[in-house]
Amino acid sequence: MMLKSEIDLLRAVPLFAAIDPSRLKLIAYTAETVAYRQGQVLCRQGDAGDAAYVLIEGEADVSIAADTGDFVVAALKPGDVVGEIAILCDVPRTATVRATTQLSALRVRKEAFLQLVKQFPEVATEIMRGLAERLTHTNEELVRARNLAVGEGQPQ
Amino acid sequence: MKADDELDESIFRYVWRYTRRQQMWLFGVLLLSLPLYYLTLDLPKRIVNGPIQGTWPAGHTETLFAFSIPLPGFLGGGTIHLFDGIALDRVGVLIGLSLTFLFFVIVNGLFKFYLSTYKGKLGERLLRRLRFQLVDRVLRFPTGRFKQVRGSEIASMIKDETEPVGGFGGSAFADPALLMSQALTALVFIVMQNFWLGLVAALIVAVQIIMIPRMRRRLVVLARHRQLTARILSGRIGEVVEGIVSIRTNDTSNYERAEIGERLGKILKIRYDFYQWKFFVNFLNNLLAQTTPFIFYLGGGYLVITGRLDIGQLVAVIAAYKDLPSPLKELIAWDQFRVDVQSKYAQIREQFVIPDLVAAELQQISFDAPPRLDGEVTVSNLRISDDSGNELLYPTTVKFAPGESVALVGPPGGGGEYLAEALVRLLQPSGGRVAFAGAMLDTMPDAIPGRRLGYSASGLFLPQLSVRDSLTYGLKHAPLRREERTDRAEMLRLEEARLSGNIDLDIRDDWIDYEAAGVSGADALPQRLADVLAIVELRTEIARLGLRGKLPEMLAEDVTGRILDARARFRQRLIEGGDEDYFESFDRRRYSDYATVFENLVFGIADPDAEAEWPMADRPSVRAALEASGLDDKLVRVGRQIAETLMDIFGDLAADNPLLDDMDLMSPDEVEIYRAALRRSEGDGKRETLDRQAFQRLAFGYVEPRHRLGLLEPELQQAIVAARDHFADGLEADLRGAVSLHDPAGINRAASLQDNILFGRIITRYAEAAGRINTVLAETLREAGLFDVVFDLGLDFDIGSGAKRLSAGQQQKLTLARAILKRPDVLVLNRPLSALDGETQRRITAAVLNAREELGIAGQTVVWVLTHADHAELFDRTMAFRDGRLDANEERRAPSMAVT
Repeated sequence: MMLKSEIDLLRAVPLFAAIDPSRLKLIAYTAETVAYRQGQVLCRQGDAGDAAYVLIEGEADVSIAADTGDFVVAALKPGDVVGEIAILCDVPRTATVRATTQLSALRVRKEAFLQLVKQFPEVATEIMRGLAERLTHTNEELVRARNLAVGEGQPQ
Repeated sequence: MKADDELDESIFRYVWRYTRRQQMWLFGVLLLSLPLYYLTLDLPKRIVNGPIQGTWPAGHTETLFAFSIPLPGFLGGGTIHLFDGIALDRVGVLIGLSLTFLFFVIVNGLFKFYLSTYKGKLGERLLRRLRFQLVDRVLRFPTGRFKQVRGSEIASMIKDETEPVGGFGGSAFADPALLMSQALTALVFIVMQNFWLGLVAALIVAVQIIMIPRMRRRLVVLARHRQLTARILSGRIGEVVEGIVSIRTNDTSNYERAEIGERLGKILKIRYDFYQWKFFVNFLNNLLAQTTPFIFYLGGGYLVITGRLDIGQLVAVIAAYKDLPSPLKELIAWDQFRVDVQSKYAQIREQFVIPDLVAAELQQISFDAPPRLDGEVTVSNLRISDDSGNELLYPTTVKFAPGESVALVGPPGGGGEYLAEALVRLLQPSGGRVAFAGAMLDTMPDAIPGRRLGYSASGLFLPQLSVRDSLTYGLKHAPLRREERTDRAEMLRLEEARLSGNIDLDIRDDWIDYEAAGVSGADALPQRLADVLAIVELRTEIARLGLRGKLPEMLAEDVTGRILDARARFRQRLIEGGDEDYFESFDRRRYSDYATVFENLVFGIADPDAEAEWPMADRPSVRAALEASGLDDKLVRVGRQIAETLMDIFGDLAADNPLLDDMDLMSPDEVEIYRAALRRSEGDGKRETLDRQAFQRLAFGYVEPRHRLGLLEPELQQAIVAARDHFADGLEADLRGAVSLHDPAGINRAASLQDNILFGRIITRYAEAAGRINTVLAETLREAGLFDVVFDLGLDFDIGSGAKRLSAGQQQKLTLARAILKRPDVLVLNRPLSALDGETQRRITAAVLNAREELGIAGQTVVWVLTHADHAELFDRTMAFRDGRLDANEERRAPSMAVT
């Protein structure tokens, strides 16, 4: 995996999609590729998050611990991004990500990313716009879900 | 106080006290040399007046070297003839007298040589004595005194300010006596020629002698002023160095600059004043000296003209006066020196003569093991107050049973810490007393509490030593195992030490008290050190230092073999554990992906500082290898591509943008250099050598998996591996010291022990590789029995100035381990682990208490001021202090007295 293809990979990530290509190069250069064997853990629920991962090849499961045991909430494939919330704010990992095959990923460190945002406010604007869109999207889903719940509740 | 210790108020008395005999000898030799000196002055006259100019009838001979002693009248008169002399003709006399002259010149020179070396030696001995006395006094300062003095000021006093005292020691008595006698002779001679002229000369001399020193008193005041200002300056500079953290974190560097600048300005002003006054006084002095001939010419000339004085007399007076100014001038200079030294000496003395010095007897060396303090510790009515009389600890009475462990809890300043400090005599109680096993603490010589009590606290200062020496420091009370030395050098060493009143113990002897540590000798010590370090959880950290640190210069032959053995085992384990893809071994025939291009080229590692000294790409043997292998152009091309990519990514950032630090291959201030180099080399035009080397330097640092620019084609890698042969037969002079080669069958001296065992690179692309390799390495070390070697290397680790190479927690662990190592009867600990987290503190506390059995000191009493009150449950008893009062005193379980 070389720098050029990594830039393309990053461009496909919604969070980074709107960022100027010349800045995206910076992110790619300061990122690193990491490899995991099957069964190894990229991040663990509850740990402090310090990086986002973009899958280059291989697959991974996202699971959440519950009283009844872990249950898988999502499966990741190449091109998917995980842990991007952690590089924007200090929240513990909300889920555990485990490689289900041999896996390699691009690791974007929080400090490098925040430094970039600090140096180029326009990047921050792009990210804000992306987040706002996702928030609107989430709000709409919430309204829809509530309507659904209200609709279900009425017969009783 | 011993007589040997006196610092007299007067510098003369001080010099006289310690060098009386040498001064007499010096004076005697000086007297002996005087007649010879006058002979060298007299002989030329005789040579000129005799054989050269004198009337000499042909065939006339003269008797030379006749030597007889005239007997005084009361012995019957007459003379005793010792040598009748030789009769010589004119040329013979000339030769004889000239040879005699040469002889006296040589003898005179030898005398001068002897006298100056003797004076120099005398002065140096005096200086050594004075410095030793001052250091001795520092060691005996009462503990409270250290709150008021600055270390660097004391150092500047002992080292710099004492310097002139040494020079003065040699000339304190003999010089003035000699000069005075010379001046008096000249003066008497003048008076004998003509009474009145002599009187005038004496008068002016008197004015000089009385007035000039008086005027110079102001110089003394200025000199003292300067000395004090300079001393404070060195104190302040010391503070800047010590306080660099506060300066950096408060941005006060310019405040410090201004403050130091102000002081320097003051010193300059004082110096300027000093020079002005000094040269003015010199001017006056010279004027006075020149007035005398003026009076001689005018007054004497008038007397001659009026016929009251013979012209011969006037000429004789003027000739005699020639001899007067020079000793006079030197005498005045000497007096200046004296006053200056006296003032400096008084300044120093003032700081070191204080009434409450620890008596020298208390620190007397003792070779015997002191009595054990294994009885009850009784503290009765102990009261402690600070300098301004505030009560820190109200009268307190407590007892500690032998073998008891007691926790002192309470807020900082609550009182427990003062009790702890008073127990080891760091605080002088203002009332009450402390007794160990019935013996009063305050009258004990240092040998007893210093060996039988153990103490550690947070923030204890550690001097720059190895870990090993820091630990055994607590065992070095006396040279217990003395080596027999009887050679001349040793005799000389002892003789000199005695002549300067220094201690004659030899620092080279073995000072370690093995018995106190509970081991039989030097061989068993490392194991004991490992034990105590394990108790304070420092053992693995020390081992790690040994693993990561550079290999020592000297390495035992069998250790080399064991390292190579471990290397093989490590490889074996990797394969067995299926971890091969986590690691890449160095192989002469294979390119190492995780090493830089340069490391691959030479098949070795480069000293990180060598590049700045002389760029690798410019060194002849590297040049030769690149050209011979055809890599020269290829690497320039790679470097150029790297530069282009970096420019593309980082080129439009401002020079101070922190993102530039992520470039890794290029430093931010090199960006412009490379931009220019790229512009110059556009197209395929002629490139300058410097640009080519700059590009090659970029290529040299390139690591494909890290920088991911896709620049290393397999053919290029092969070419680089092939080029290794140029370095295989040993390094040329230009690379020696800068590069050290990998050797599959040997050790790389410049690499750490860890790198020598691994002999390869961790594939850091795998997230878990580093952790896994560490585990395999640890297993390998255990299996190969190398752990003791690693630990030994760790013990040799230099902890740095003020132990700054260790973390605060490690420093605290180290001082605690030092206190445990000497197995004291009473262990007093004053928040010794405050830099560690609560859980670790609890573990170590428990370990220290439990280790007493293992160390063979079950009866040890432990008094521990705790940071966390809830750790008190580990102890037999808890005493709570609040506002200087003992609040609660509760027993947890029965005291472990029963153990004995």
